[in-house]
Amino acid sequence: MGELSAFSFLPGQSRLHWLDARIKLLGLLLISLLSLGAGGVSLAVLSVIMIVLAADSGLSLIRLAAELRYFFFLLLLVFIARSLSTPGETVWQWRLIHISVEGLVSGLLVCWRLLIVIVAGLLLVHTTRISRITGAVRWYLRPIPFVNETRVALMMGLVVRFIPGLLLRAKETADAQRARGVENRKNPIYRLRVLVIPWLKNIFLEADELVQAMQARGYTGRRTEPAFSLQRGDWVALTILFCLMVGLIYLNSI
Amino acid sequence: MSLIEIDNLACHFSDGTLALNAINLYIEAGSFVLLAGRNGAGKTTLLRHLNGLILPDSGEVRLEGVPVAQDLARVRQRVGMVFQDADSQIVGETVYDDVAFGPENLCWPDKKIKARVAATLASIGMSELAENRPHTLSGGEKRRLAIAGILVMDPEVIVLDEPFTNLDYPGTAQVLKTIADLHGDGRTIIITTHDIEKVFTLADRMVVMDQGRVVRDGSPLDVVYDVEQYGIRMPCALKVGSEVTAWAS
Repeated sequence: MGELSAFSFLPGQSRLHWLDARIKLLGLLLISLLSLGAGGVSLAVLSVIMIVLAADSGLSLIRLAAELRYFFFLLLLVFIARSLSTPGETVWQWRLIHISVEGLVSGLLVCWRLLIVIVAGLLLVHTTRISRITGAVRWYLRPIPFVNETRVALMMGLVVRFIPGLLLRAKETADAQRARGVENRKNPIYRLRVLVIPWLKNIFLEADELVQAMQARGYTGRRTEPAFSLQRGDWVALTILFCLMVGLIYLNSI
Repeated sequence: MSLIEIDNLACHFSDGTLALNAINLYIEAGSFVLLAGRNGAGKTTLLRHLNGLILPDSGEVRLEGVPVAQDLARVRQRVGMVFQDADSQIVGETVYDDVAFGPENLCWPDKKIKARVAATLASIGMSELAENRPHTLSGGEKRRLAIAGILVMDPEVIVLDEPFTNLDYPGTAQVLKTIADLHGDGRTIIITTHDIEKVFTLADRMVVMDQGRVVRDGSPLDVVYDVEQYGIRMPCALKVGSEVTAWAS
């Protein structure tokens, strides 16, 4: 898990790399909101856009699938839960368990929507420096009263920055437990406990060390703001984004 | 007036244990101080007082005559600290971002940050790694990145806590050369390490700590023959009667 890399920024020259972070963040927000109620046609349009953008930013479909392999288990669970819990015309039944056509369709749609949102988020993180993302978050949150935009942006930045590290640490802890024969213990709760407790302990210790390191480097919350300026390409992208949104809203309404 | 003055410094851990007791140290500008002692002797706690990460329970730490607690922002720019675990110090998504973290905290203008980061990376030979992700670097490169992260803020004093931990020989040599170059530029270096042999020829002063106290303080050659009673290994070369040779020129 620690080798996950698309979840972190990779320098490049693609269109997404050049795009202003505020527009990418807005795009992610709008795509996420619209995909919640999107039907098959809208989702197909969004899927094509995601595939084209991923390819342009250097992420092949195989690489995307490999990066999201653990996420597919979650999608599978959602799909099964939807298939079993949605009433409708039964296609398969065994005792109390029955799967309906409506359940299969609904499960498929929910998983597709979640996949679109995840891929859009992944593309944002993969093509944008954390400092630009947090700068964009600060820019959007600044007019909102009672919200400490600097703190929110910092928390977001640190979470994104440390996801690969946390996964790597989890793998190291799991390997250390396996080296000491934890697989001989059949109780899953015991195995989870001996994995999670040292893992969390290490995370908290590292978080404490990180706070000290940040303070030592003069972090106070007041920082140089990234300079944003919309270029011609950004305006074009913004226009395309709004046209797309209007189109999708229309498609969702018919 | 010394660059760093520590008077009667005492500090307790949260459980009441005495971590530092009656520390008096005066460190001159441009000196290279080797701080040695067994685990738990109080070395790291002392270092963290130098840039105000820990404030004294009693006594005083002054930088250029000004108490550290009085102006923490200035102190943290003037006294750069490299932590034992480089991974926990690196916060940037790329090498460039990480080096820029400190200057951004100082609210420098964007142009100045770019110029300083580029110059700093060039000075430690990491320009070609600017867009690399930190977790892909070798141990020695990560340690040099941690040094670059504080060097970019142009500190007068560089404090290094066990900088050779987990490094192989090439990594150690790289870091040593960087430290020697920084000292050659006139910066004050304060370093803790268990392997005193590595910096023995570079240091001009050796301070030994034990149970929160300074127990020996002098030139490395005067102090080194007493260190084994404090849980520090004397360099092999001295044991067989020869000279300690430099690890880095």
